[in-house]
Amino acid sequence: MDGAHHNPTPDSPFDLVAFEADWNRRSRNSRLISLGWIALASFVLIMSMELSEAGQSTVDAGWTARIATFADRMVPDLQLQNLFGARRDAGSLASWFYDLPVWLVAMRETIAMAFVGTVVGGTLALYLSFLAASNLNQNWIGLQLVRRTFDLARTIPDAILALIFAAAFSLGPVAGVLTLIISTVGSLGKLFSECMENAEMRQVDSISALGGNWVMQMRFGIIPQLLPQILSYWLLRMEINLSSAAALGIVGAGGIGMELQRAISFTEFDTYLAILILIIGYIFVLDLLSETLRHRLIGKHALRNNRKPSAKAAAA
Amino acid sequence: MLEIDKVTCSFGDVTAVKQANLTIQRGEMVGIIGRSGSGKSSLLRLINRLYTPQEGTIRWDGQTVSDLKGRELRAWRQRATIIFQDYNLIPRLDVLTNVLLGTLGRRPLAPVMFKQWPKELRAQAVLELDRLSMADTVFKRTQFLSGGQQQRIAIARAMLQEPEILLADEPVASLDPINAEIVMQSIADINASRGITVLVNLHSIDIARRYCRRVIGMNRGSIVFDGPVSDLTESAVAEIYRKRTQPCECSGDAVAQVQPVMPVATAVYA
Amino acid sequence: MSDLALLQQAEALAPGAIFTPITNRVKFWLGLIAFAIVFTAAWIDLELTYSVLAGGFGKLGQILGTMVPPTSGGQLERLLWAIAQTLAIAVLGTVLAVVGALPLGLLAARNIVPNPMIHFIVRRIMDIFRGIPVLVWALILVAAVGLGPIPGILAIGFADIPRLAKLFGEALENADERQRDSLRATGSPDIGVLRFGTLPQALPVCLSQCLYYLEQNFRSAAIVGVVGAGGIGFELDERIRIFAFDEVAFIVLLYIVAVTVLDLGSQWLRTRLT
Repeated sequence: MDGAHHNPTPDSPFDLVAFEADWNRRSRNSRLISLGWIALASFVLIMSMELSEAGQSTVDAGWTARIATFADRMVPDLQLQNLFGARRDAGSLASWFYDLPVWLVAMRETIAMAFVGTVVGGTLALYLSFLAASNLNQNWIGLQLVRRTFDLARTIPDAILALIFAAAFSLGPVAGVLTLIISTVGSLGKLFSECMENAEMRQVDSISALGGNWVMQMRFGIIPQLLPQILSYWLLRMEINLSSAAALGIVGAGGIGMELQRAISFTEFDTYLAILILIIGYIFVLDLLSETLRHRLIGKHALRNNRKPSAKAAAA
Repeated sequence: MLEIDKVTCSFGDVTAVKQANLTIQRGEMVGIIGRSGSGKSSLLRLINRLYTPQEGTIRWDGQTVSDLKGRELRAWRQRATIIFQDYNLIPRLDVLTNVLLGTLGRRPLAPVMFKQWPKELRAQAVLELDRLSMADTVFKRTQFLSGGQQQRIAIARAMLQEPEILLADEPVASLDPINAEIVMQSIADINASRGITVLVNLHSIDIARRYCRRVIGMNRGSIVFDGPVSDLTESAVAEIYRKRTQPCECSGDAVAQVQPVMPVATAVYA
Repeated sequence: MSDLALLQQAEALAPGAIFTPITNRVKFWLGLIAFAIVFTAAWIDLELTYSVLAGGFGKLGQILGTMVPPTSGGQLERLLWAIAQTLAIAVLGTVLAVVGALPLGLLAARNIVPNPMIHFIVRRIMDIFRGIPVLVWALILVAAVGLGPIPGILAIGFADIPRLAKLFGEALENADERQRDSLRATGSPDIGVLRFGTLPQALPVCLSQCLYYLEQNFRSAAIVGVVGAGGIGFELDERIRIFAFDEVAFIVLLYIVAVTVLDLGSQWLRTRLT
């Protein structure tokens, strides 16, 4: 500390001229840096406009108007007097949601896809993640192999995986399940192995001191201390999969998304809106359910360990 | 002259300050002591008008400041500046900008938004820093400085406001003894050389004895001691720091019993 | 001492350790059985039979076989251009999302807008729209606007506005109130408190989130291409339809390289921000 001369004398000459020069130089530099960033950002924006043809507008200038007329076509002609009439009555809710039983079956398929995908994918991820944690697997080649597999599974967008699976397994939910398994292995595998790397090794050591083999060390040394975290990541992934499964059908991987795709290809835009409302309601309920479930199952643990996983981390 | 007349301020069920009466002359340096939660901070925040009293009035030189609003309130806050225990600077900005933020209330907005300040103001800010031996840090990021340095920056920011009152809320509670000494000396210098009225909350009676001629004691929202340092006897201190007689005692009765023991000596100083 | 007596003695020392309460065991097994039933039902519902899986994996094997060696099909330039276009869609979509999310984020922050009604309504509306996946937006926008990158940009923008707005709102709310108070105490007007008390704290967080969303949107931009919104997804979809899997493999590899480069760049920027 410079306590020695803390008592300033009024005649201590501070070089204001030098300070002013220094200030000018620094503010000029920071202005230049800001200008540089602005120039870079503008360049990226202009290039993006150019590349995406948003500037020259191949879809002509009237696209905002087109969205407006389109939105108009999406809204069904509901009539108040027979709003609750039968399906054949024009303007009734039942005629708008005319295919509701089929959609509900498709919705069940979506949920089944997400459930099976998350359970199978998560189980695979759990087994593989022991191999991807550097403190549990000393084999460098094996470690890198598993980790790069996780990376690969995360990098390829799920819709593209679904397209490839649909080519092999034909259109339908099987392609969707496999896609979800792969993406779940990628994301949960990474998260699980990161959890394990943060695990306390003393507990593993104590099991090995008792004469436990590797499997026992993992079962009693690692799983118990990480179970709350693993379960909460798993549940979060279930939630993500339940909503992304709804969209996967659009590229042909089964479930409610295929109904959306069908509505569009038959230009039944009011039907599209009906299914969309169904999906939004479904996701909304899903949010509420997962919230309460998380609180009940592992809320206390997760809070105590201060390791409540963020949605961002699980989506990565 | 600062006159605090029957000021009460509460938050929900908690009464932070109740029926406080206080008169402080221009140029005084007054220490306020009391247990944490006794209402010291609230009293300073009431004077600066970060809080608004529910009852009572606060006057400065005859002008009532306890009911100011909008532009006039901001003008008052410039005149009664406050510094905090945790410095509360903007850690990501450099020292000079932090000091210049003291002028936010009186500068035109447009240039300020882009951190443009006139040359004279920058010079003034640097000179304020220099008086606190901090001129060599002007371009450093505030977050990398020590607590003692940050508190001195906060003082420089307060001085750039050209205030009439300096309110210091536990300015040295987070500092080591050497830095506490430096900061308290700076505050005392400001009081002595510029005639700025100083109210300083302190957790240490020693520091209060050394730097203040007059001390105010607060207990559970009420002013229970007001007198020269020489009157601050062991028994007076014990009374100021007295705990609640009963753990669940919440009514004002206990306070009413406390007050006669140590008579309020405002009249002597008024 | 008989075995049973020994057990009872132990049970007396630690109730529940030897003779586990029957309700606990029943609960556990009921849960497990329910889980197994649901899982089996889902499995059957999806018609994941042996023949489907065996046939499919056989075909998948063939597809993977045709993927080697990957080839650009002599269209490297066109593919690079498509990748660049995908990046452009991601950038513009993110910019659109940020522009839309800023005012909503301000409205959703409790310490900026003191009116509880406003941020309650804004938050509920955002909760509803936050769930709509980007592909659903893309499908409807391609139908509305026509093929090309613009519906892709709009889809990404619309999908991310409520998500980013929520994050912006949280970043603003997490700003340290003491710093804001200290500026208020100098007599600063509200706009000054926002500029110097909130912005320096919230901006790095928001920028870092924007970059993270840009990374994610590069993936979304590839996906929306599949339903006709331009870029690399469109090229991929075309080649999968004609079973040109050697070209598909090439595109996927190219895409992985591009994603990796973008992620590394963005992560470098993000570490510099904090």
